Amino acid sequence: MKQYVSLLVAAVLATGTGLATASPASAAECPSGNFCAWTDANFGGQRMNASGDDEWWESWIADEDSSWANHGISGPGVKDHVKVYESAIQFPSTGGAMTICLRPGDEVGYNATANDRGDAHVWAMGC
Amino acid sequence: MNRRVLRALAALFLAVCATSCGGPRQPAVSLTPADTLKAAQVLLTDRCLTRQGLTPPRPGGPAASGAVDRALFGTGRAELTLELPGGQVVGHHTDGCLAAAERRLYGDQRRWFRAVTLVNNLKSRAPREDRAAYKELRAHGLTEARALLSASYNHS
Repeated sequence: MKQYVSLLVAAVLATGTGLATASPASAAECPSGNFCAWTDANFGGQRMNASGDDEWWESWIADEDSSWANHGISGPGVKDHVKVYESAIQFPSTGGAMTICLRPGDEVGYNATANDRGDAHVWAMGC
Repeated sequence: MNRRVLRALAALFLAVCATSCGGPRQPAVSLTPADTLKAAQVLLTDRCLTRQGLTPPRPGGPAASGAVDRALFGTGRAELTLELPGGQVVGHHTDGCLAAAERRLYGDQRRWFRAVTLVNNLKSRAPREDRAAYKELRAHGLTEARALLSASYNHS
């Protein structure tokens, strides 16, 4: 099963990488030191800024997120990566599956198949 | 980056190098490989920003200006893109000080972007060649980072 999954992943990546998938039309305006999530694709609509963790996004952005950007500031011992989770991190839930992990400078303008899957995020040293 | 901060970072780095390089000194503080890379990245982005007359931002520090944000992270569309199996299209800039720092450390920024994005999100399910590229380029980055930090300490 593991081999099958690896083959499937490789197949998807082989077709997905390097394709001229539509790049976001606009820049991700997100203040340094923050993780930002937008209600619309391509960094449009309402924006959430977060310099810290938020384990239970407010209803206007929870499961309404369509684009993200990590503009965290790096440094030794600094948590500069962001992990986005599909569920709120409220005991006993640990957030469910991790939707994505972003390093500083990573931006996600849209999600081709699985939109609106963020309910929480935490900052981390790495992915 | 001011000299005081630079010396602190370089001293931490040299404490690690003393053990890994077989030096006689005992390390006072250990810098992990990840933190060594981060320290070098900060050194490079600080230099890049100050060359443009901009004040580098600090974690938890005062909000940076839009000019700093754009100079650090790049502007306009992300030039590098990669679609993950989950459908998310991750982008990363090739302009800006952060991108320049990545090229300095890892050499091939495009190849590094693909490898690190896949490994970060797919872990062991990332294709073998990308996991190999990640190890190779990260090792390269560490070598560059140590050299940069050491040179910076010696010249400050």
